[in-house]
Amino acid sequence: MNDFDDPLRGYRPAGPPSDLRARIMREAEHATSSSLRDWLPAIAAAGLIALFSALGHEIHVDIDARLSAPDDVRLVEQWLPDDVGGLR
Amino acid sequence: MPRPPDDEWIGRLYDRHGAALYRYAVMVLADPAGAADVVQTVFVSLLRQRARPDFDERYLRRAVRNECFSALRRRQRDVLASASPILEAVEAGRDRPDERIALERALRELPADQREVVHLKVFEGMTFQEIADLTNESINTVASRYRYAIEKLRAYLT
Repeated sequence: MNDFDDPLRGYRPAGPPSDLRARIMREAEHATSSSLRDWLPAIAAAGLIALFSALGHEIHVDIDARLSAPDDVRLVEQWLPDDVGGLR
Repeated sequence: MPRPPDDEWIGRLYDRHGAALYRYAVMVLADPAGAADVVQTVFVSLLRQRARPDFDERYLRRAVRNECFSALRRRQRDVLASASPILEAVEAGRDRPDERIALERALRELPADQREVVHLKVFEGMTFQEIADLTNESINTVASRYRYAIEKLRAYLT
């Protein structure tokens, strides 16, 4: 032990303030909820993408169905040449 | 074994290590408010590393040390104007304010790395080798810091 140690022996570094634990718990809770909140826009964006993708697919299928009416097309193919003067 | 919910887990970890880590930080920073901020920052940052199996005392001490020296770098100085007490009497009623304030002034005059060594050696009873391992310094550097610190403190107090 040296000269300086002796007076220091009666002391120790000050302890934490009584509210530090509560502060940490509050901050931890906030950090956890923040991380969930941080994800919310991404989750919403993913939901919108899925929704528009589904709607787009539905419209695509609908258009396909309208455009590829094979019976009608075949019918037109049958009467159109005759109707316009017998191109065939 | 599943980890308990965050609040319970952090609370238990704080109960086990919080006071010792705070005392370490308060000596490095010589600033009670700064020490509280450092300890809070470290504990909250642990939540982002939940995948780790456990946080032992050594890991936590290193995290607090890094955060303390980062805080000091941000402040560009390690002697702070804080007048809040950084020491307390071990036994209630033993506190002699004049003596304590003189000791605190003397400690605040030291660079942070010397205060750190004094803390680890005097208050935590670590060997120079253990301090060298913690601080990633050579044992000679650590011993020199301690010697310089003691000389300065002695000069300041006499």
